[in-house]
Amino acid sequence: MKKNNSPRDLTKLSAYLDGELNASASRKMKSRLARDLNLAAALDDLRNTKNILRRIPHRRAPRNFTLSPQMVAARPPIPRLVPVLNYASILAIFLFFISFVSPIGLGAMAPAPEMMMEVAESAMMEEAPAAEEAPAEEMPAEEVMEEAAAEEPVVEEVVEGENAMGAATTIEATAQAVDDAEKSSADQETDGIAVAPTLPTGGTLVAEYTATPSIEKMPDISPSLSLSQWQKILLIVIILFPILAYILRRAVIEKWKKES
Amino acid sequence: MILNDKIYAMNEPALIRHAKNGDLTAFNKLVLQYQDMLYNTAYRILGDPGLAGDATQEAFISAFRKLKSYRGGSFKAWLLRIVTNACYDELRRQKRRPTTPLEPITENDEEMESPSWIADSADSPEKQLETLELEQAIQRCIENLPPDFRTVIVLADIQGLDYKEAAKAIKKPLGTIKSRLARARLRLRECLQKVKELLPTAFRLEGENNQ
Repeated sequence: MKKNNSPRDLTKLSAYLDGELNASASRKMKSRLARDLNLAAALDDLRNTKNILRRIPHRRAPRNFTLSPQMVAARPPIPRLVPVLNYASILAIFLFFISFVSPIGLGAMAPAPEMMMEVAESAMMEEAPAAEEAPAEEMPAEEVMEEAAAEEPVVEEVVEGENAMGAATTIEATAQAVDDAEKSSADQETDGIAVAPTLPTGGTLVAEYTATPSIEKMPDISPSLSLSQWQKILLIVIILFPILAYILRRAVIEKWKKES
Repeated sequence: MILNDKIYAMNEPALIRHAKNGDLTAFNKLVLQYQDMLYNTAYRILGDPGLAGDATQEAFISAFRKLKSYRGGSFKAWLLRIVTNACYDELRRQKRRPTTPLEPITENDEEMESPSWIADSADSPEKQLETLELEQAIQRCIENLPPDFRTVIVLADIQGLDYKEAAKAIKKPLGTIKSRLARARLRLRECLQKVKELLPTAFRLEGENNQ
């Protein structure tokens, strides 16, 4: 085939061959073919190609493709919301587990037990300077106890504002400290005081007692297994969405059965 | 049995009407009528008997389910559109998961390149071989075309659809059909010139004259 036939001419020629040109375009093409030998040769090529394709043997179906009732059994429609609910619950399951293992993301939103311990420790550290203001030099134990007894109102002031239980424990602990100054730390622990070590200096002891109310908060921030808000929401999604999807699906199936 | 006889005696519009009302027997009569055409189309587009069979079956199932959307016109073109879509789906699947086609195996466990079932037993062995070789050469050239060109040439030149029917079948404008068909024919011609010794004499001489 010669190169000078444009793609446009060839398209027209192909359509002319198939009788798909309108009357006027067909007449024009006919007159061009009479003058242009290259165009006529291109037409012959196209015609031969078409004839070759027409000669290709027709393959017969290797088997019957008739349908059985099982093959065309209609299926009930699936409500659009069902896959959405299912995907959402899968995502929620994923996020729920991630929230337990990941230090970032949702896990960060829920106060982790370790983090809460750190908060408690820092609170203790903040209160420690108050203890440092107490006399640093060594004193005899009796004097220390007397001083501690004298400072009892201070302790009470510190205790004020704390919860009743913590206050009661602190006062009790202070009184016990005055009465049994020489008792070991083990004894104090058995009496239910959270901060145990027996300290040699009165100042440290005062610091200990003033710090006690903060430590009494620990039950609130202890590493309990309670779920954060986010985790609760995820848990609700995990449980409710599949149930909702199932109910929707059943409703549509029932409706579809009635209609069919 | 009487019902089946009645159905077999029906013409196409009546069969379609019955099939639209869910009559599977009527539809299966249409299946028998068109299965060769659909299979042949699928085979020419896909080039694999197994895949062509799957596409044909898929097309008939799809046609039965969509029959209510058929609003008259050429039922043949409507079916060809469905089988073409099934072939496109198969081609897309192949693109995602390419597979090696399996040739039928002979008794000696050797791959049979020219399966005997496609030969017309009425012809002499020489003629059969010639026909097979020609068919294979043409099929290879068709498979070398891009899928869009392949579909148009199969529908127009092999199945004999006119441009309007082909346009309906692949949902493209007439201009697209015209240009794709012209380009596909040119490409095919170039490809066939490489195997001209297999081609019928008339075509071979024409090709040589034009060079």
